[in-house]
Amino acid sequence: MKYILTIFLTLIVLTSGMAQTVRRVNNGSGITGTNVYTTLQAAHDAASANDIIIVEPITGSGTYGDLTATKPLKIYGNGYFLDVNTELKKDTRESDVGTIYFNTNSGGSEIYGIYAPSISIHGVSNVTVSRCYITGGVYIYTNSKTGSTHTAVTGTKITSNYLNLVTISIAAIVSNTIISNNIIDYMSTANDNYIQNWIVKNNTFRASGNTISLANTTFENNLVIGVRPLGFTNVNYTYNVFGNTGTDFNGNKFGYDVTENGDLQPAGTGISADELYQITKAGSTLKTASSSGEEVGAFGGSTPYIVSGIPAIPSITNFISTGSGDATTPIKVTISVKSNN
Amino acid sequence: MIRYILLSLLLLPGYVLSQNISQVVYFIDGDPGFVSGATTVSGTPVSSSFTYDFTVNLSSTSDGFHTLSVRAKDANGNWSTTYTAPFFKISATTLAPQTSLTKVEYFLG
Repeated sequence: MKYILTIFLTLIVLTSGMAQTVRRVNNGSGITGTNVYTTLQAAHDAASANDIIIVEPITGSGTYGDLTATKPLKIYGNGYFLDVNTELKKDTRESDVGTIYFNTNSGGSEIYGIYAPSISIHGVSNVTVSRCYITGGVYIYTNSKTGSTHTAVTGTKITSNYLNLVTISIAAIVSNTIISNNIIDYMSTANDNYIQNWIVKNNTFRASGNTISLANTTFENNLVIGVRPLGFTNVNYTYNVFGNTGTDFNGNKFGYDVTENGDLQPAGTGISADELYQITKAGSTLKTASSSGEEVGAFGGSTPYIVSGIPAIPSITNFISTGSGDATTPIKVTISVKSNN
Repeated sequence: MIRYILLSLLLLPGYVLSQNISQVVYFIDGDPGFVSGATTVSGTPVSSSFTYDFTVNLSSTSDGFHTLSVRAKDANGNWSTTYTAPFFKISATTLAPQTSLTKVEYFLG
Protein backbone atom coordinates (compact mmCIF):
# COMPACT_ATOMS: atom_id res chain seq x y z
CA MET A 1 0.00 0.00 0.00
CA LYS A 2 2.83 2.37 0.86
CA TYR A 3 4.24 1.80 -2.58
CA ILE A 4 0.99 2.80 -4.27
CA LEU A 5 0.79 5.94 -2.17
CA THR A 6 4.41 6.77 -2.90
CA ILE A 7 3.93 6.36 -6.64
CA PHE A 8 0.78 8.46 -6.50
CA LEU A 9 2.45 11.29 -4.58
CA THR A 10 5.49 11.15 -6.84
CA LEU A 11 3.22 11.52 -9.86
CA ILE A 12 1.64 14.61 -8.34
CA VAL A 13 5.00 16.17 -7.54
CA LEU A 14 6.40 15.41 -10.99
CA THR A 15 3.42 16.74 -12.91
CA SER A 16 3.05 19.85 -10.76
CA GLY A 17 6.68 20.64 -11.46
CA MET A 18 6.11 20.61 -15.22
CA ALA A 19 4.59 24.07 -15.38
CA GLN A 20 4.43 25.34 -18.93
CA THR A 21 4.25 28.95 -19.95
CA VAL A 22 1.55 29.72 -22.48
CA ARG A 23 2.60 32.21 -25.14
CA ARG A 24 0.53 33.91 -27.81
CA VAL A 25 1.33 34.88 -31.38
CA ASN A 26 -0.92 37.64 -32.66
CA ASN A 27 -0.23 40.51 -35.06
CA GLY A 28 -3.51 42.32 -34.51
CA SER A 29 -3.44 46.05 -33.94
CA GLY A 30 -3.24 46.88 -30.25
CA ILE A 31 -2.70 43.25 -29.17
CA THR A 32 0.09 43.51 -26.62
CA GLY A 33 0.98 42.27 -23.17
CA THR A 34 2.80 39.55 -21.32
CA ASN A 35 4.08 36.75 -23.57
CA VAL A 36 2.46 38.13 -26.73
CA TYR A 37 4.57 38.06 -29.90
CA THR A 38 4.04 39.06 -33.50
CA THR A 39 6.02 36.19 -35.10
CA LEU A 40 6.15 32.49 -34.38
CA GLN A 41 9.94 32.52 -34.29
CA ALA A 42 9.95 35.27 -31.64
CA ALA A 43 7.58 33.24 -29.47
CA HIS A 44 9.79 30.18 -29.92
CA ASP A 45 12.96 32.08 -29.07
CA ALA A 46 11.43 33.37 -25.84
CA ALA A 47 10.06 29.96 -24.86
CA SER A 48 11.51 27.29 -22.64
CA ALA A 49 11.35 23.61 -23.54
CA ASN A 50 7.79 22.23 -23.36
CA ASP A 51 6.10 25.63 -23.38
CA ILE A 52 2.83 26.07 -25.25
CA ILE A 53 2.49 28.52 -28.13
CA ILE A 54 -0.98 29.48 -29.31
CA VAL A 55 -0.83 30.92 -32.82
CA GLU A 56 -3.93 33.04 -33.15
CA PRO A 57 -5.82 34.00 -36.31
CA ILE A 58 -3.72 36.31 -38.45
CA THR A 59 -4.61 39.86 -39.39
CA GLY A 60 -3.88 40.71 -43.03
CA SER A 61 -2.73 38.57 -45.91
CA GLY A 62 0.75 37.57 -44.66
CA THR A 63 1.97 34.88 -42.32
CA TYR A 64 3.58 34.67 -38.91
CA GLY A 65 6.79 33.70 -40.69
CA ASP A 66 8.95 30.59 -40.81
CA LEU A 67 9.96 28.72 -37.70
CA THR A 68 13.17 26.84 -37.05
CA ALA A 69 12.45 24.99 -33.83
CA THR A 70 15.32 23.98 -31.58
CA LYS A 71 13.38 22.99 -28.48
CA PRO A 72 10.32 20.82 -27.86
CA LEU A 73 7.10 22.82 -27.92
CA LYS A 74 3.37 22.38 -28.29
CA ILE A 75 1.99 24.68 -30.96
CA TYR A 76 -1.75 25.24 -31.53
CA GLY A 77 -3.47 27.13 -34.33
CA ASN A 78 -7.09 28.05 -35.03
CA GLY A 79 -7.96 25.40 -37.63
CA TYR A 80 -9.00 25.91 -41.27
CA PHE A 81 -12.02 25.96 -43.61
CA LEU A 82 -13.68 28.01 -40.88
CA ASP A 83 -15.13 30.45 -43.41
CA VAL A 84 -17.39 27.54 -44.35
CA ASN A 85 -17.76 25.88 -40.97
CA THR A 86 -18.67 29.11 -39.21
CA GLU A 87 -20.39 27.35 -36.34
CA LEU A 88 -17.05 26.04 -35.05
CA LYS A 89 -15.32 29.32 -34.21
CA LYS A 90 -16.31 32.96 -33.75
CA ASP A 91 -13.04 34.01 -35.38
CA THR A 92 -12.94 32.17 -38.69
CA ARG A 93 -9.48 33.27 -39.81
CA GLU A 94 -6.61 30.81 -40.09
CA SER A 95 -3.29 30.82 -38.25
CA ASP A 96 -1.05 31.18 -41.29
CA VAL A 97 2.62 30.46 -40.79
CA GLY A 98 5.58 29.97 -43.11
CA THR A 99 7.60 26.78 -43.37
CA ILE A 100 8.10 24.93 -40.09
CA TYR A 101 11.45 23.23 -39.53
CA PHE A 102 11.71 20.90 -36.55
CA ASN A 103 15.48 21.05 -36.20
CA THR A 104 18.02 19.61 -33.76
CA ASN A 105 16.79 19.37 -30.15
CA SER A 106 13.14 19.92 -31.06
CA GLY A 107 12.25 16.23 -30.72
CA GLY A 108 8.94 15.64 -28.94
CA SER A 109 7.32 18.74 -30.44
CA GLU A 110 3.64 18.72 -31.34
CA ILE A 111 1.81 21.00 -33.77
CA TYR A 112 -1.95 21.25 -34.31
CA GLY A 113 -4.42 23.40 -36.23
CA ILE A 114 -1.87 25.36 -38.26
CA TYR A 115 -2.08 26.47 -41.91
CA ALA A 116 1.40 26.04 -43.40
CA PRO A 117 3.04 25.52 -46.80
CA SER A 118 5.21 22.67 -45.49
CA ILE A 119 6.57 21.07 -42.34
CA SER A 120 10.04 19.53 -42.26
CA ILE A 121 11.34 17.14 -39.62
CA HIS A 122 15.12 17.31 -39.50
CA GLY A 123 16.73 14.37 -37.73
CA VAL A 124 14.54 14.55 -34.62
CA SER A 125 12.19 11.96 -33.16
CA ASN A 126 8.72 11.86 -31.65
CA VAL A 127 7.36 14.85 -33.57
CA THR A 128 3.57 14.98 -33.97
CA VAL A 129 1.92 16.86 -36.84
CA SER A 130 -1.84 16.75 -36.49
CA ARG A 131 -4.98 18.60 -37.60
CA CYS A 132 -3.00 20.92 -39.85
CA TYR A 133 -3.72 22.17 -43.37
CA ILE A 134 -0.41 21.76 -45.20
CA THR A 135 -0.64 22.98 -48.75
CA GLY A 136 2.60 21.19 -49.61
CA GLY A 137 3.87 18.27 -47.61
CA VAL A 138 5.47 16.85 -44.54
CA TYR A 139 9.14 16.14 -45.24
CA ILE A 140 11.19 13.76 -43.12
CA TYR A 141 14.97 14.16 -43.16
CA THR A 142 17.60 12.35 -41.12
CA ASN A 143 20.01 15.27 -41.10
CA SER A 144 19.64 18.64 -39.43
CA LYS A 145 18.52 21.65 -41.44
CA THR A 146 22.09 22.56 -42.37
CA GLY A 147 24.12 19.54 -41.27
CA SER A 148 25.32 16.49 -43.17
CA THR A 149 25.39 13.98 -40.30
CA HIS A 150 22.46 11.59 -40.39
CA THR A 151 20.72 10.22 -37.30
CA ALA A 152 17.85 7.78 -36.89
CA VAL A 153 14.35 9.23 -36.61
CA THR A 154 11.58 7.39 -34.81
CA GLY A 155 8.11 7.97 -33.43
CA THR A 156 6.85 10.48 -36.00
CA LYS A 157 3.06 10.86 -35.99
CA ILE A 158 1.29 12.47 -38.94
CA THR A 159 -2.41 12.28 -38.19
CA SER A 160 -5.66 13.94 -39.21
CA ASN A 161 -4.13 16.49 -41.54
CA TYR A 162 -5.36 17.90 -44.85
CA LEU A 163 -2.22 17.85 -46.97
CA ASN A 164 -0.63 17.12 -50.28
CA LEU A 165 2.06 14.56 -49.55
CA VAL A 166 4.46 12.89 -47.15
CA THR A 167 7.96 12.37 -48.47
CA ILE A 168 11.47 11.56 -47.27
CA SER A 169 15.09 12.40 -47.87
CA ILE A 170 16.96 10.07 -45.56
CA ALA A 171 20.26 8.29 -45.04
CA ALA A 172 19.52 6.70 -41.67
CA ILE A 173 16.71 4.56 -40.32
CA VAL A 174 13.29 6.14 -39.98
CA SER A 175 11.14 3.82 -37.93
CA ASN A 176 7.85 3.51 -36.10
CA THR A 177 6.14 6.21 -38.13
CA ILE A 178 2.35 6.45 -37.95
CA ILE A 179 0.47 8.15 -40.76
CA SER A 180 -3.24 7.93 -40.12
CA ASN A 181 -6.58 9.60 -40.77
CA ASN A 182 -5.18 12.15 -43.19
CA ILE A 183 -6.83 13.47 -46.32
CA ILE A 184 -3.85 13.32 -48.62
CA ASP A 185 -2.84 13.25 -52.24
CA TYR A 186 0.11 10.87 -52.25
CA MET A 187 3.24 9.55 -50.53
CA SER A 188 6.71 9.34 -51.95
CA THR A 189 8.63 7.04 -49.64
CA ALA A 190 9.38 3.90 -51.60
CA ASN A 191 12.39 1.72 -52.30
CA ASP A 192 14.27 2.81 -49.29
CA ASN A 193 15.62 0.24 -46.85
CA TYR A 194 15.98 2.92 -44.23
CA ILE A 195 12.22 2.83 -43.76
CA GLN A 196 11.22 0.42 -41.00
CA ASN A 197 7.92 -0.34 -39.30
CA TRP A 198 5.69 2.30 -40.81
CA ILE A 199 1.95 2.14 -40.35
CA VAL A 200 -0.20 3.94 -42.92
CA LYS A 201 -3.76 3.51 -41.81
CA ASN A 202 -7.20 5.00 -42.35
CA ASN A 203 -6.15 7.69 -44.77
CA THR A 204 -8.23 8.97 -47.66
CA PHE A 205 -6.12 9.46 -50.77
CA ARG A 206 -7.71 12.07 -52.99
CA ALA A 207 -8.08 11.36 -56.69
CA SER A 208 -4.89 12.27 -58.54
CA GLY A 209 -2.39 10.86 -60.98
CA ASN A 210 0.47 10.76 -58.48
CA THR A 211 2.04 7.48 -57.46
CA ILE A 212 1.60 6.26 -53.90
CA SER A 213 5.11 4.99 -53.12
CA LEU A 214 5.79 3.05 -49.94
CA ALA A 215 8.25 0.53 -48.56
CA ASN A 216 8.34 -1.77 -45.53
CA THR A 217 4.95 -0.55 -44.38
CA THR A 218 1.65 -1.83 -43.06
CA PHE A 219 -1.00 -0.22 -45.27
CA GLU A 220 -4.48 -0.82 -43.91
CA ASN A 221 -8.03 0.53 -44.01
CA ASN A 222 -7.18 3.26 -46.50
CA LEU A 223 -9.50 4.61 -49.16
CA VAL A 224 -7.70 5.31 -52.44
CA ILE A 225 -9.96 7.29 -54.72
CA GLY A 226 -9.52 7.01 -58.45
CA VAL A 227 -7.08 5.02 -60.53
CA ARG A 228 -3.42 5.71 -59.87
CA PRO A 229 -0.02 4.01 -59.82
CA LEU A 230 1.02 2.11 -56.70
CA GLY A 231 4.75 1.79 -55.98
CA PHE A 232 4.72 -0.74 -53.13
CA THR A 233 7.91 -2.49 -51.97
CA ASN A 234 7.46 -4.97 -49.15
CA VAL A 235 4.16 -3.41 -48.18
CA ASN A 236 1.69 -5.54 -46.26
CA TYR A 237 -1.62 -4.16 -47.44
CA THR A 238 -4.95 -5.34 -46.18
CA TYR A 239 -8.53 -4.09 -46.08
CA ASN A 240 -8.02 -1.11 -48.33
CA VAL A 241 -10.41 0.09 -51.01
CA PHE A 242 -8.78 1.05 -54.31
CA GLY A 243 -10.11 2.67 -57.44
CA ASN A 244 -7.51 0.65 -59.34
CA THR A 245 -8.67 -2.43 -61.16
CA GLY A 246 -7.43 -5.72 -59.72
CA THR A 247 -8.41 -8.90 -57.98
CA ASP A 248 -9.65 -8.61 -54.43
CA PHE A 249 -7.42 -10.25 -51.80
CA ASN A 250 -6.64 -9.97 -48.08
CA GLY A 251 -9.67 -7.78 -47.58
CA ASN A 252 -8.50 -5.35 -50.26
CA LYS A 253 -11.21 -4.26 -52.64
CA PHE A 254 -10.23 -3.13 -56.15
CA GLY A 255 -12.03 -1.28 -58.89
CA TYR A 256 -14.31 0.61 -56.54
CA ASP A 257 -15.60 3.90 -57.90
CA VAL A 258 -16.79 6.19 -55.09
CA THR A 259 -18.26 8.65 -57.60
CA GLU A 260 -20.30 5.99 -59.34
CA ASN A 261 -21.46 4.59 -56.02
CA GLY A 262 -22.24 7.99 -54.54
CA ASP A 263 -20.60 7.22 -51.20
CA LEU A 264 -19.21 10.64 -50.34
CA GLN A 265 -20.75 13.85 -49.07
CA PRO A 266 -22.08 15.84 -52.04
CA ALA A 267 -20.83 19.40 -52.48
CA GLY A 268 -23.10 22.17 -51.32
CA THR A 269 -23.44 25.28 -49.23
CA GLY A 270 -21.82 24.86 -45.85
CA ILE A 271 -19.78 21.84 -46.94
CA SER A 272 -16.04 22.37 -46.60
CA ALA A 273 -13.41 20.74 -48.81
CA ASP A 274 -12.55 18.17 -46.14
CA GLU A 275 -16.16 17.27 -45.46
CA LEU A 276 -16.45 16.17 -49.09
CA TYR A 277 -14.56 13.02 -48.06
CA GLN A 278 -17.05 11.94 -45.40
CA ILE A 279 -18.85 8.73 -46.27
CA THR A 280 -22.45 9.79 -45.94
CA LYS A 281 -24.35 7.30 -48.09
CA ALA A 282 -26.50 5.05 -45.94
CA GLY A 283 -25.51 1.43 -46.32
CA SER A 284 -22.28 2.25 -48.16
CA THR A 285 -19.94 -0.69 -48.62
CA LEU A 286 -17.15 1.56 -47.37
CA LYS A 287 -18.71 1.79 -43.91
CA THR A 288 -17.92 -1.86 -43.16
CA ALA A 289 -14.84 -2.48 -45.31
CA SER A 290 -12.10 -2.06 -42.68
CA SER A 291 -10.25 -4.84 -40.85
CA SER A 292 -12.58 -4.39 -37.87
CA GLY A 293 -15.70 -4.22 -40.02
CA GLU A 294 -15.87 -0.45 -39.69
CA GLU A 295 -15.37 2.50 -41.98
CA VAL A 296 -12.29 2.84 -44.19
CA GLY A 297 -10.66 6.18 -44.91
CA ALA A 298 -9.86 9.27 -42.89
CA PHE A 299 -13.13 9.43 -40.98
CA GLY A 300 -12.89 5.82 -39.78
CA GLY A 301 -10.79 4.12 -37.13
CA SER A 302 -10.22 5.00 -33.50
CA THR A 303 -9.03 8.56 -34.17
CA PRO A 304 -11.21 9.92 -36.96
CA TYR A 305 -10.26 13.00 -38.96
CA ILE A 306 -11.40 16.22 -37.27
CA VAL A 307 -13.27 18.56 -39.60
CA SER A 308 -11.52 21.94 -39.98
CA GLY A 309 -8.57 20.72 -37.90
CA ILE A 310 -9.98 22.03 -34.65
CA PRO A 311 -7.29 21.36 -32.04
CA ALA A 312 -8.05 19.83 -28.65
CA ILE A 313 -8.23 23.15 -26.85
CA PRO A 314 -11.41 25.11 -26.08
CA SER A 315 -13.11 27.10 -28.84
CA ILE A 316 -14.90 30.41 -28.51
CA THR A 317 -17.90 29.88 -30.73
CA ASN A 318 -19.73 33.14 -30.16
CA PHE A 319 -19.12 36.59 -28.67
CA ILE A 320 -21.67 39.38 -28.37
CA SER A 321 -20.98 42.69 -26.65
CA THR A 322 -22.89 45.92 -26.22
CA GLY A 323 -19.68 47.57 -27.40
CA SER A 324 -19.80 50.67 -25.23
CA GLY A 325 -20.44 51.77 -21.68
CA ASP A 326 -19.59 54.46 -19.21
CA ALA A 327 -18.60 54.80 -15.59
CA THR A 328 -21.97 53.62 -14.38
CA THR A 329 -23.13 51.47 -17.30
CA PRO A 330 -21.05 48.33 -17.73
CA ILE A 331 -20.54 46.48 -21.00
CA LYS A 332 -22.75 43.42 -21.30
CA VAL A 333 -21.10 40.37 -22.83
CA THR A 334 -22.36 36.96 -23.91
CA ILE A 335 -19.73 34.37 -24.78
CA SER A 336 -20.21 30.76 -25.87
CA VAL A 337 -17.38 28.31 -25.43
CA LYS A 338 -16.88 24.67 -26.28
CA SER A 339 -14.24 22.17 -25.29
CA ASN A 340 -12.73 19.83 -27.87
CA ASN A 341 -11.15 16.40 -27.72
CA MET B 1 -7.35 3.12 1.00
CA ILE B 2 -7.30 2.23 -2.68
CA ARG B 3 -10.77 3.70 -3.04
CA TYR B 4 -9.58 6.99 -1.56
CA ILE B 5 -6.60 7.07 -3.89
CA LEU B 6 -8.78 6.42 -6.91
CA LEU B 7 -11.24 9.06 -5.77
CA SER B 8 -8.41 11.54 -5.32
CA LEU B 9 -7.15 10.76 -8.80
CA LEU B 10 -10.56 11.50 -10.26
CA LEU B 11 -10.76 14.80 -8.43
CA LEU B 12 -7.39 16.04 -9.61
CA PRO B 13 -8.02 18.44 -12.51
CA GLY B 14 -5.06 17.14 -14.45
CA TYR B 15 -6.40 13.65 -14.43
CA VAL B 16 -10.08 14.37 -15.00
CA LEU B 17 -11.34 12.74 -18.16
CA SER B 18 -14.22 15.17 -18.51
CA GLN B 19 -13.70 17.92 -21.07
CA ASN B 20 -15.88 20.58 -19.44
CA ILE B 21 -14.83 24.20 -19.54
CA SER B 22 -13.30 25.04 -16.18
CA GLN B 23 -12.67 28.78 -16.43
CA VAL B 24 -13.40 31.82 -18.58
CA VAL B 25 -11.43 35.03 -18.01
CA TYR B 26 -11.41 38.51 -19.49
CA PHE B 27 -9.11 41.50 -19.43
CA ILE B 28 -9.08 45.02 -20.82
CA ASP B 29 -6.26 46.11 -23.17
CA GLY B 30 -2.83 44.53 -22.46
CA ASP B 31 -2.65 40.80 -21.75
CA PRO B 32 -1.65 40.18 -18.13
CA GLY B 33 -0.54 36.62 -19.00
CA PHE B 34 -2.14 33.28 -18.34
CA VAL B 35 -1.12 32.93 -14.71
CA SER B 36 -2.92 35.83 -13.05
CA GLY B 37 -4.25 39.32 -13.61
CA ALA B 38 -7.33 38.53 -15.66
CA THR B 39 -10.83 38.54 -14.19
CA THR B 40 -12.60 35.20 -13.92
CA VAL B 41 -16.18 35.09 -15.18
CA SER B 42 -18.56 33.40 -12.76
CA GLY B 43 -20.45 30.38 -13.98
CA THR B 44 -20.43 26.62 -13.58
CA PRO B 45 -20.46 24.83 -16.90
CA VAL B 46 -22.31 21.56 -16.93
CA SER B 47 -21.32 20.29 -20.34
CA SER B 48 -18.66 20.63 -23.00
CA SER B 49 -20.51 23.66 -24.43
CA PHE B 50 -21.53 26.59 -22.27
CA THR B 51 -22.71 30.18 -22.61
CA TYR B 52 -21.70 32.84 -20.12
CA ASP B 53 -23.38 36.21 -19.59
CA PHE B 54 -21.38 38.78 -17.69
CA THR B 55 -20.80 42.50 -17.34
CA VAL B 56 -17.56 44.46 -17.43
CA ASN B 57 -17.36 47.38 -15.04
CA LEU B 58 -15.73 50.42 -16.65
CA SER B 59 -15.57 52.72 -13.62
CA SER B 60 -11.77 52.57 -13.50
CA THR B 61 -11.23 52.53 -17.28
CA SER B 62 -10.15 55.70 -19.06
CA ASP B 63 -12.44 57.29 -21.62
CA GLY B 64 -12.11 56.33 -25.28
CA PHE B 65 -11.39 53.18 -27.26
CA HIS B 66 -10.11 49.99 -25.61
CA THR B 67 -10.10 46.27 -26.24
CA LEU B 68 -11.84 43.54 -24.31
CA SER B 69 -10.28 40.06 -24.55
CA VAL B 70 -11.69 36.73 -23.40
CA ARG B 71 -10.40 33.16 -23.28
CA ALA B 72 -11.41 29.83 -21.82
CA LYS B 73 -9.69 26.91 -20.15
CA ASP B 74 -10.84 23.30 -20.10
CA ALA B 75 -10.63 20.75 -17.33
CA ASN B 76 -7.33 19.49 -18.68
CA GLY B 77 -5.77 22.94 -18.32
CA ASN B 78 -5.76 23.75 -22.05
CA TRP B 79 -6.39 27.38 -22.97
CA SER B 80 -8.30 28.58 -26.01
CA THR B 81 -7.11 31.24 -28.39
CA THR B 82 -7.87 34.71 -27.04
CA TYR B 83 -10.77 36.56 -28.66
CA THR B 84 -10.47 40.35 -28.69
CA ALA B 85 -13.09 42.98 -29.55
CA PRO B 86 -12.95 46.78 -29.32
CA PHE B 87 -15.25 48.83 -27.10
CA PHE B 88 -15.73 52.52 -26.30
CA LYS B 89 -15.84 54.07 -22.85
CA ILE B 90 -18.12 57.07 -23.03
CA SER B 91 -17.04 60.07 -21.02
CA ALA B 92 -19.42 61.35 -18.42
CA THR B 93 -18.51 64.85 -19.58
CA THR B 94 -18.71 64.20 -23.29
CA LEU B 95 -21.89 66.26 -23.53
CA ALA B 96 -22.00 69.64 -21.90
CA PRO B 97 -24.81 69.91 -19.34
CA GLN B 98 -28.05 71.34 -20.68
CA THR B 99 -28.58 75.00 -19.80
CA SER B 100 -31.80 76.96 -19.43
CA LEU B 101 -33.01 79.26 -22.20
CA THR B 102 -32.75 82.83 -21.03
CA LYS B 103 -34.21 84.89 -23.87
CA VAL B 104 -36.30 84.73 -27.06
CA GLU B 105 -36.40 87.71 -29.43
CA TYR B 106 -38.02 88.67 -32.75
CA PHE B 107 -37.56 91.43 -35.34
CA LEU B 108 -39.35 92.80 -38.39
CA GLY B 109 -38.17 93.91 -41.86
